[in-house]
Amino acid sequence: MRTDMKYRLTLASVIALVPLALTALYIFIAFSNSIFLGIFPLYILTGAFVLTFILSFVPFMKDHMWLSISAVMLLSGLSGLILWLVI
Amino acid sequence: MDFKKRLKLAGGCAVASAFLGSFLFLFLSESLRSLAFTSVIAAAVIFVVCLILIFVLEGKPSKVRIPVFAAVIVAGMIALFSVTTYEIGVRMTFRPHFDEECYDELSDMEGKVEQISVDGISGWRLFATDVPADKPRPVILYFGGNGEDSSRKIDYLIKNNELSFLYSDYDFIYLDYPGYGLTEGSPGEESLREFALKAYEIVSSLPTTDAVTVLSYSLGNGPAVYLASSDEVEIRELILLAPYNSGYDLYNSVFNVFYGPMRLLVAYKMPVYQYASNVTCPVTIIASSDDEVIPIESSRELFSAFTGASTNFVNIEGVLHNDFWTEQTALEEIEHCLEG
Repeated sequence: MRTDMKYRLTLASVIALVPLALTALYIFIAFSNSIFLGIFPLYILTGAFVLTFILSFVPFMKDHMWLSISAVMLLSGLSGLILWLVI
Repeated sequence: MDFKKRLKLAGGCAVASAFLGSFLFLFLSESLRSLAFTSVIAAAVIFVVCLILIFVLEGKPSKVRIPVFAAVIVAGMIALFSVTTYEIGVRMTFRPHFDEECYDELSDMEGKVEQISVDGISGWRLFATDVPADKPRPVILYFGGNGEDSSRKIDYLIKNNELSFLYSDYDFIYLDYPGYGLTEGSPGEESLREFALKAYEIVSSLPTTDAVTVLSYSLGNGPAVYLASSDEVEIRELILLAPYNSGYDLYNSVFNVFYGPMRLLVAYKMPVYQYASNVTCPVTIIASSDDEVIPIESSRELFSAFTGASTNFVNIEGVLHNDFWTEQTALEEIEHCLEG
Protein backbone atom coordinates (compact mmCIF):
# COMPACT_ATOMS: atom_id res chain seq x y z
CA MET A 1 0.00 0.00 0.00
CA ARG A 2 1.24 3.48 -0.88
CA THR A 3 1.83 5.59 2.17
CA ASP A 4 2.36 9.09 0.72
CA MET A 5 0.02 11.85 1.93
CA LYS A 6 -1.27 12.66 -1.56
CA TYR A 7 -2.51 9.09 -1.99
CA ARG A 8 -4.14 9.07 1.46
CA LEU A 9 -5.99 12.33 0.79
CA THR A 10 -7.10 11.19 -2.68
CA LEU A 11 -8.45 7.89 -1.38
CA ALA A 12 -10.33 9.53 1.52
CA SER A 13 -11.73 12.19 -0.85
CA VAL A 14 -12.99 9.66 -3.36
CA ILE A 15 -14.64 7.55 -0.63
CA ALA A 16 -16.36 10.68 0.74
CA LEU A 17 -17.27 12.14 -2.66
CA VAL A 18 -18.98 9.05 -4.07
CA PRO A 19 -21.81 9.02 -1.45
CA LEU A 20 -22.01 12.80 -1.69
CA ALA A 21 -22.43 12.76 -5.48
CA LEU A 22 -25.13 10.07 -5.08
CA THR A 23 -26.82 12.22 -2.43
CA ALA A 24 -26.87 15.14 -4.86
CA LEU A 25 -28.59 12.88 -7.38
CA TYR A 26 -31.10 11.77 -4.72
CA ILE A 27 -31.93 15.38 -3.78
CA PHE A 28 -32.37 16.37 -7.41
CA ILE A 29 -34.67 13.44 -8.15
CA ALA A 30 -36.74 14.12 -5.00
CA PHE A 31 -37.28 17.80 -5.73
CA SER A 32 -37.53 17.85 -9.51
CA ASN A 33 -40.80 17.78 -11.36
CA SER A 34 -39.28 16.05 -14.35
CA ILE A 35 -36.89 13.15 -14.60
CA PHE A 36 -34.80 15.11 -17.14
CA LEU A 37 -33.95 17.72 -14.54
CA GLY A 38 -33.82 15.11 -11.76
CA ILE A 39 -30.78 13.41 -13.25
CA PHE A 40 -28.86 16.69 -13.68
CA PRO A 41 -25.85 15.39 -11.67
CA LEU A 42 -25.62 12.47 -14.10
CA TYR A 43 -25.33 14.87 -17.04
CA ILE A 44 -22.39 16.59 -15.38
CA LEU A 45 -20.84 13.28 -14.39
CA THR A 46 -21.01 11.95 -17.96
CA GLY A 47 -20.06 15.25 -19.57
CA ALA A 48 -17.07 15.79 -17.29
CA PHE A 49 -15.87 12.22 -17.81
CA VAL A 50 -16.02 12.44 -21.61
CA LEU A 51 -14.48 15.92 -21.72
CA THR A 52 -11.57 15.08 -19.41
CA PHE A 53 -10.92 11.86 -21.29
CA ILE A 54 -10.86 13.67 -24.65
CA LEU A 55 -8.66 16.46 -23.29
CA SER A 56 -6.12 13.89 -22.12
CA PHE A 57 -5.41 13.20 -25.81
CA VAL A 58 -5.04 16.84 -26.82
CA PRO A 59 -1.28 17.56 -27.26
CA PHE A 60 -1.01 20.73 -25.17
CA MET A 61 -3.57 19.67 -22.56
CA LYS A 62 -2.10 16.24 -21.87
CA ASP A 63 1.06 17.96 -20.64
CA HIS A 64 -0.98 20.35 -18.49
CA MET A 65 -3.65 18.12 -17.01
CA TRP A 66 -4.39 20.48 -14.15
CA LEU A 67 -5.46 23.01 -16.76
CA SER A 68 -7.90 20.45 -18.21
CA ILE A 69 -9.24 19.54 -14.77
CA SER A 70 -9.70 23.22 -13.87
CA ALA A 71 -11.51 23.88 -17.16
CA VAL A 72 -13.88 20.94 -16.64
CA MET A 73 -14.57 21.93 -13.03
CA LEU A 74 -15.24 25.50 -14.14
CA LEU A 75 -17.70 24.29 -16.76
CA SER A 76 -19.46 22.12 -14.16
CA GLY A 77 -19.75 25.05 -11.78
CA LEU A 78 -21.11 27.19 -14.59
CA SER A 79 -23.72 24.59 -15.50
CA GLY A 80 -24.94 24.56 -11.88
CA LEU A 81 -25.09 28.35 -11.91
CA ILE A 82 -26.95 28.43 -15.25
CA LEU A 83 -29.46 25.84 -14.01
CA TRP A 84 -30.13 27.98 -10.93
CA LEU A 85 -30.56 31.10 -13.07
CA VAL A 86 -32.92 29.33 -15.49
CA ILE A 87 -35.09 27.81 -12.74
CA MET B 1 -0.04 8.82 -19.95
CA ASP B 2 -1.45 5.30 -20.36
CA PHE B 3 -5.09 4.46 -21.04
CA LYS B 4 -5.82 3.26 -17.49
CA LYS B 5 -4.50 6.47 -16.02
CA ARG B 6 -6.60 8.53 -18.43
CA LEU B 7 -9.76 6.64 -17.37
CA LYS B 8 -8.93 7.12 -13.69
CA LEU B 9 -8.32 10.81 -14.19
CA ALA B 10 -11.55 11.29 -16.14
CA GLY B 11 -13.50 9.30 -13.51
CA GLY B 12 -12.13 11.32 -10.60
CA CYS B 13 -12.72 14.58 -12.39
CA ALA B 14 -16.28 13.52 -13.29
CA VAL B 15 -17.23 12.71 -9.67
CA ALA B 16 -15.70 15.98 -8.44
CA SER B 17 -17.47 17.92 -11.20
CA ALA B 18 -20.84 16.31 -10.46
CA PHE B 19 -20.36 17.27 -6.85
CA LEU B 20 -19.32 20.83 -7.68
CA GLY B 21 -22.05 21.55 -10.28
CA SER B 22 -24.87 19.96 -8.28
CA PHE B 23 -23.96 21.44 -4.94
CA LEU B 24 -23.41 24.88 -6.39
CA PHE B 25 -27.03 24.72 -7.56
CA LEU B 26 -28.25 23.37 -4.21
CA PHE B 27 -26.37 26.04 -2.23
CA LEU B 28 -27.77 28.78 -4.46
CA SER B 29 -31.35 27.50 -3.95
CA GLU B 30 -32.48 28.95 -0.65
CA SER B 31 -34.91 26.15 0.24
CA LEU B 32 -32.29 23.44 -0.34
CA ARG B 33 -29.25 25.19 1.14
CA SER B 34 -29.45 23.68 4.61
CA LEU B 35 -30.04 20.24 3.10
CA ALA B 36 -26.90 20.58 0.96
CA PHE B 37 -24.98 21.90 3.97
CA THR B 38 -26.01 18.88 6.08
CA SER B 39 -24.90 16.52 3.31
CA VAL B 40 -21.50 18.21 2.98
CA ILE B 41 -20.96 18.02 6.76
CA ALA B 42 -21.83 14.30 6.68
CA ALA B 43 -19.37 13.79 3.80
CA ALA B 44 -16.67 15.69 5.71
CA VAL B 45 -17.17 13.28 8.63
CA ILE B 46 -16.79 10.32 6.23
CA PHE B 47 -13.60 11.91 4.86
CA VAL B 48 -12.07 12.24 8.34
CA VAL B 49 -13.08 8.68 9.29
CA CYS B 50 -11.46 7.39 6.09
CA LEU B 51 -8.28 9.33 6.70
CA ILE B 52 -7.99 7.90 10.21
CA LEU B 53 -8.66 4.38 8.87
CA ILE B 54 -5.97 4.80 6.22
CA PHE B 55 -3.44 5.46 8.95
CA VAL B 56 -4.77 2.70 11.22
CA LEU B 57 -4.80 0.11 8.43
CA GLU B 58 -1.33 0.96 7.13
CA GLY B 59 0.61 -2.24 6.57
CA LYS B 60 -2.47 -4.44 6.80
CA PRO B 61 -3.14 -6.84 3.87
CA SER B 62 -5.60 -5.78 1.16
CA LYS B 63 -8.09 -8.50 2.20
CA VAL B 64 -8.52 -6.48 5.41
CA ARG B 65 -8.30 -2.97 3.94
CA ILE B 66 -10.72 -3.39 1.02
CA PRO B 67 -13.68 -4.76 3.08
CA VAL B 68 -13.15 -2.01 5.69
CA PHE B 69 -13.22 0.75 3.07
CA ALA B 70 -16.21 -0.86 1.36
CA ALA B 71 -17.98 -0.92 4.75
CA VAL B 72 -17.15 2.78 5.27
CA ILE B 73 -18.62 3.66 1.85
CA VAL B 74 -21.80 1.64 2.55
CA ALA B 75 -22.14 3.11 6.07
CA GLY B 76 -21.52 6.58 4.67
CA MET B 77 -24.17 6.11 2.01
CA ILE B 78 -26.67 4.83 4.59
CA ALA B 79 -25.91 7.82 6.86
CA LEU B 80 -26.24 10.32 4.01
CA PHE B 81 -29.39 8.63 2.71
CA SER B 82 -30.95 8.74 6.20
CA VAL B 83 -30.09 12.40 6.82
CA THR B 84 -31.23 13.39 3.34
CA THR B 85 -34.49 11.42 3.52
CA TYR B 86 -35.35 12.98 6.88
CA GLU B 87 -34.64 16.49 5.59
CA ILE B 88 -36.43 15.93 2.27
CA GLY B 89 -39.46 14.68 4.21
CA VAL B 90 -39.60 17.91 6.22
CA ARG B 91 -39.33 20.03 3.06
CA MET B 92 -41.96 18.05 1.20
CA THR B 93 -44.40 18.09 4.13
CA PHE B 94 -44.15 21.82 4.80
CA ARG B 95 -43.93 24.40 2.02
CA PRO B 96 -44.20 27.70 3.85
CA HIS B 97 -44.79 30.79 1.79
CA PHE B 98 -46.36 34.21 1.92
CA ASP B 99 -48.46 35.66 -0.90
CA GLU B 100 -47.60 39.34 -0.68
CA GLU B 101 -49.85 40.35 -3.58
CA CYS B 102 -52.97 38.84 -1.96
CA TYR B 103 -51.91 40.28 1.40
CA ASP B 104 -51.81 43.79 -0.10
CA GLU B 105 -55.20 43.28 -1.76
CA LEU B 106 -56.78 42.16 1.52
CA SER B 107 -55.20 45.07 3.38
CA ASP B 108 -57.31 47.40 1.21
CA MET B 109 -60.60 45.63 2.03
CA GLU B 110 -61.35 47.20 5.36
CA GLY B 111 -64.73 46.16 6.80
CA LYS B 112 -64.83 42.96 4.77
CA VAL B 113 -61.78 41.34 6.33
CA GLU B 114 -59.64 41.93 9.39
CA GLN B 115 -56.06 40.95 9.98
CA ILE B 116 -55.45 38.99 13.17
CA SER B 117 -52.06 39.18 14.82
CA VAL B 118 -51.74 37.77 18.33
CA ASP B 119 -48.63 36.36 20.06
CA GLY B 120 -46.74 35.89 16.82
CA ILE B 121 -49.67 34.16 15.09
CA SER B 122 -51.03 35.98 12.11
CA GLY B 123 -53.92 35.46 9.70
CA TRP B 124 -57.23 36.80 8.43
CA ARG B 125 -60.83 36.93 9.54
CA LEU B 126 -63.42 37.13 6.81
CA PHE B 127 -66.58 38.66 8.28
CA ALA B 128 -69.96 36.97 7.88
CA THR B 129 -71.85 38.88 5.19
CA ASP B 130 -75.40 38.17 6.49
CA VAL B 131 -74.81 38.97 10.17
CA PRO B 132 -74.52 42.51 11.59
CA ALA B 133 -70.96 43.30 12.66
CA ASP B 134 -71.70 43.51 16.40
CA LYS B 135 -73.92 40.40 16.66
CA PRO B 136 -72.60 37.03 17.83
CA ARG B 137 -72.08 34.49 15.05
CA PRO B 138 -70.52 31.05 14.61
CA VAL B 139 -66.96 30.85 13.34
CA ILE B 140 -65.28 28.47 10.92
CA LEU B 141 -61.70 27.94 12.02
CA TYR B 142 -59.82 26.66 8.99
CA PHE B 143 -56.65 24.56 8.99
CA GLY B 144 -55.23 24.58 5.48
CA GLY B 145 -53.05 22.34 3.39
CA ASN B 146 -49.26 22.50 3.19
CA GLY B 147 -49.30 24.69 0.09
CA GLU B 148 -51.84 27.22 1.33
CA ASP B 149 -51.48 30.49 3.18
CA SER B 150 -54.18 32.68 4.72
CA SER B 151 -53.85 35.68 2.38
CA ARG B 152 -54.20 33.64 -0.80
CA LYS B 153 -57.03 31.51 0.60
CA ILE B 154 -59.15 34.39 1.89
CA ASP B 155 -58.57 36.28 -1.37
CA TYR B 156 -59.69 33.17 -3.27
CA LEU B 157 -62.85 32.83 -1.17
CA ILE B 158 -63.79 36.47 -1.80
CA LYS B 159 -63.22 36.21 -5.55
CA ASN B 160 -65.23 33.00 -6.01
CA ASN B 161 -68.95 33.47 -5.44
CA GLU B 162 -69.67 29.76 -5.24
CA LEU B 163 -67.71 29.71 -1.98
CA SER B 164 -69.70 32.53 -0.34
CA PHE B 165 -71.69 29.96 1.70
CA LEU B 166 -68.55 29.65 3.86
CA TYR B 167 -68.89 33.22 5.12
CA SER B 168 -72.56 34.13 4.79
CA ASP B 169 -73.59 33.13 8.32
CA TYR B 170 -70.12 32.32 9.65
CA ASP B 171 -66.94 34.29 10.20
CA PHE B 172 -64.23 32.42 8.32
CA ILE B 173 -60.89 32.55 10.12
CA TYR B 174 -57.63 31.24 8.71
CA LEU B 175 -54.51 31.66 10.82
CA ASP B 176 -51.16 30.79 9.27
CA TYR B 177 -49.08 27.91 10.59
CA PRO B 178 -45.67 28.71 12.13
CA GLY B 179 -43.35 29.80 9.33
CA TYR B 180 -46.24 30.44 6.93
CA GLY B 181 -47.47 33.93 6.04
CA LEU B 182 -46.48 36.35 8.77
CA THR B 183 -46.66 33.82 11.61
CA GLU B 184 -43.39 33.46 13.50
CA GLY B 185 -41.56 30.16 14.09
CA SER B 186 -40.94 27.15 11.91
CA PRO B 187 -43.36 24.39 10.93
CA GLY B 188 -43.11 20.99 12.56
CA GLU B 189 -45.24 18.38 14.28
CA GLU B 190 -44.95 19.85 17.76
CA SER B 191 -45.28 23.46 16.65
CA LEU B 192 -48.45 22.56 14.71
CA ARG B 193 -50.03 21.02 17.82
CA GLU B 194 -49.19 24.10 19.91
CA PHE B 195 -50.44 26.32 17.12
CA ALA B 196 -53.82 24.53 16.99
CA LEU B 197 -54.51 25.20 20.68
CA LYS B 198 -53.39 28.83 20.41
CA ALA B 199 -55.50 29.37 17.28
CA TYR B 200 -58.57 28.11 19.13
CA GLU B 201 -57.77 30.37 22.08
CA ILE B 202 -57.54 33.39 19.75
CA VAL B 203 -60.78 32.56 17.92
CA SER B 204 -62.83 31.70 21.01
CA SER B 205 -61.72 34.90 22.76
CA LEU B 206 -63.19 37.11 20.02
CA PRO B 207 -66.25 38.91 21.51
CA THR B 208 -68.59 37.92 18.65
CA THR B 209 -67.73 34.20 18.58
CA ASP B 210 -70.60 32.04 19.79
CA ALA B 211 -69.52 28.65 18.41
CA VAL B 212 -66.51 27.20 16.61
CA THR B 213 -66.70 24.79 13.69
CA VAL B 214 -63.36 23.38 12.58
CA LEU B 215 -62.79 22.83 8.87
CA SER B 216 -59.52 21.29 7.75
CA TYR B 217 -57.92 20.15 4.56
CA SER B 218 -55.03 17.77 3.91
CA LEU B 219 -52.07 18.59 6.21
CA GLY B 220 -54.38 20.67 8.43
CA ASN B 221 -56.32 17.57 9.50
CA GLY B 222 -53.58 16.58 11.96
CA PRO B 223 -53.67 19.75 14.08
CA ALA B 224 -57.47 20.00 13.63
CA VAL B 225 -58.16 16.54 15.09
CA TYR B 226 -55.56 17.17 17.81
CA LEU B 227 -57.43 20.35 18.75
CA ALA B 228 -60.80 18.61 18.78
CA SER B 229 -59.40 15.88 21.04
CA SER B 230 -58.43 18.39 23.72
CA ASP B 231 -60.59 18.45 26.88
CA GLU B 232 -60.29 22.22 27.10
CA VAL B 233 -62.05 23.07 23.86
CA GLU B 234 -65.66 23.05 22.74
CA ILE B 235 -66.15 22.47 19.06
CA ARG B 236 -69.53 22.37 17.36
CA GLU B 237 -68.48 20.23 14.41
CA LEU B 238 -65.37 18.87 12.77
CA ILE B 239 -65.28 18.72 8.97
CA LEU B 240 -62.24 16.95 7.55
CA LEU B 241 -61.35 17.16 3.86
CA ALA B 242 -58.95 14.50 2.60
CA PRO B 243 -57.73 13.47 6.07
CA TYR B 244 -54.88 11.06 6.79
CA ASN B 245 -54.56 8.46 9.52
CA SER B 246 -50.95 9.35 10.38
CA GLY B 247 -47.90 11.09 8.96
CA TYR B 248 -46.54 7.70 7.86
CA ASP B 249 -49.38 7.46 5.33
CA LEU B 250 -48.35 10.80 3.81
CA TYR B 251 -44.80 9.56 3.36
CA ASN B 252 -45.89 6.17 2.05
CA SER B 253 -48.14 7.80 -0.54
CA VAL B 254 -45.00 9.36 -2.05
CA PHE B 255 -42.64 6.43 -1.59
CA ASN B 256 -44.07 3.26 -0.10
CA VAL B 257 -41.11 2.12 2.01
CA PHE B 258 -41.69 3.65 5.43
CA TYR B 259 -42.20 0.50 7.48
CA GLY B 260 -40.18 -1.05 10.31
CA PRO B 261 -36.89 0.78 10.98
CA MET B 262 -37.53 3.09 7.99
CA ARG B 263 -40.18 4.78 10.14
CA LEU B 264 -37.36 6.40 12.11
CA LEU B 265 -36.71 8.57 9.05
CA VAL B 266 -40.21 10.05 9.14
CA ALA B 267 -40.02 13.60 10.49
CA TYR B 268 -43.78 14.23 10.57
CA LYS B 269 -45.35 11.28 12.39
CA MET B 270 -48.58 12.98 13.55
CA PRO B 271 -50.61 10.02 14.92
CA VAL B 272 -54.04 11.47 14.08
CA TYR B 273 -55.79 8.14 14.86
CA GLN B 274 -54.64 8.42 18.48
CA TYR B 275 -56.26 11.82 18.89
CA ALA B 276 -59.42 10.70 17.07
CA SER B 277 -60.50 8.39 19.88
CA ASN B 278 -60.81 11.38 22.25
CA VAL B 279 -63.01 13.44 19.94
CA THR B 280 -66.65 13.76 21.04
CA CYS B 281 -68.08 16.38 18.66
CA PRO B 282 -69.79 15.34 15.40
CA VAL B 283 -67.30 14.52 12.65
CA THR B 284 -67.72 14.49 8.88
CA ILE B 285 -64.99 13.10 6.66
CA ILE B 286 -65.04 14.04 2.99
CA ALA B 287 -62.53 11.99 1.01
CA SER B 288 -62.07 10.97 -2.58
CA SER B 289 -61.30 7.52 -3.92
CA ASP B 290 -59.36 9.32 -6.69
CA ASP B 291 -57.19 11.36 -4.29
CA GLU B 292 -53.64 10.71 -5.52
CA VAL B 293 -51.91 12.21 -2.44
CA ILE B 294 -53.89 10.84 0.49
CA PRO B 295 -55.27 7.36 -0.27
CA ILE B 296 -58.89 6.90 0.73
CA GLU B 297 -57.86 3.82 2.77
CA SER B 298 -55.98 6.17 5.10
CA SER B 299 -59.10 8.34 5.52
CA ARG B 300 -61.20 5.22 6.15
CA GLU B 301 -58.79 4.03 8.84
CA LEU B 302 -59.07 7.39 10.53
CA PHE B 303 -62.85 7.20 10.25
CA SER B 304 -62.86 3.96 12.23
CA ALA B 305 -60.67 5.56 14.92
CA PHE B 306 -63.41 8.06 15.89
CA THR B 307 -64.96 5.75 18.47
CA GLY B 308 -66.49 8.40 20.74
CA ALA B 309 -68.18 10.66 18.18
CA SER B 310 -71.02 10.52 15.70
CA THR B 311 -69.30 10.22 12.35
CA ASN B 312 -70.20 10.51 8.72
CA PHE B 313 -68.00 9.42 5.81
CA VAL B 314 -68.55 10.83 2.34
CA ASN B 315 -66.69 9.51 -0.67
CA ILE B 316 -66.68 11.95 -3.57
CA GLU B 317 -65.43 10.04 -6.57
CA GLY B 318 -63.42 11.62 -9.36
CA VAL B 319 -61.95 14.45 -7.26
CA LEU B 320 -58.17 14.82 -7.21
CA HIS B 321 -56.36 16.05 -4.11
CA ASN B 322 -55.89 19.63 -5.31
CA ASP B 323 -59.45 19.88 -6.63
CA PHE B 324 -61.33 19.80 -3.33
CA TRP B 325 -61.79 23.58 -3.48
CA THR B 326 -62.81 23.73 -7.12
CA GLU B 327 -64.96 20.63 -7.75
CA GLN B 328 -68.67 21.30 -7.33
CA THR B 329 -69.37 17.90 -5.72
CA ALA B 330 -66.83 18.61 -2.96
CA LEU B 331 -68.16 22.12 -2.33
CA GLU B 332 -71.75 20.86 -2.19
CA GLU B 333 -70.77 18.33 0.48
CA ILE B 334 -69.07 21.02 2.58
CA GLU B 335 -72.13 23.27 2.26
CA HIS B 336 -74.40 20.37 3.16
CA CYS B 337 -72.34 19.74 6.33
CA LEU B 338 -72.51 23.38 7.38
CA GLU B 339 -76.26 23.49 6.83
CA GLY B 340 -76.88 20.20 8.60
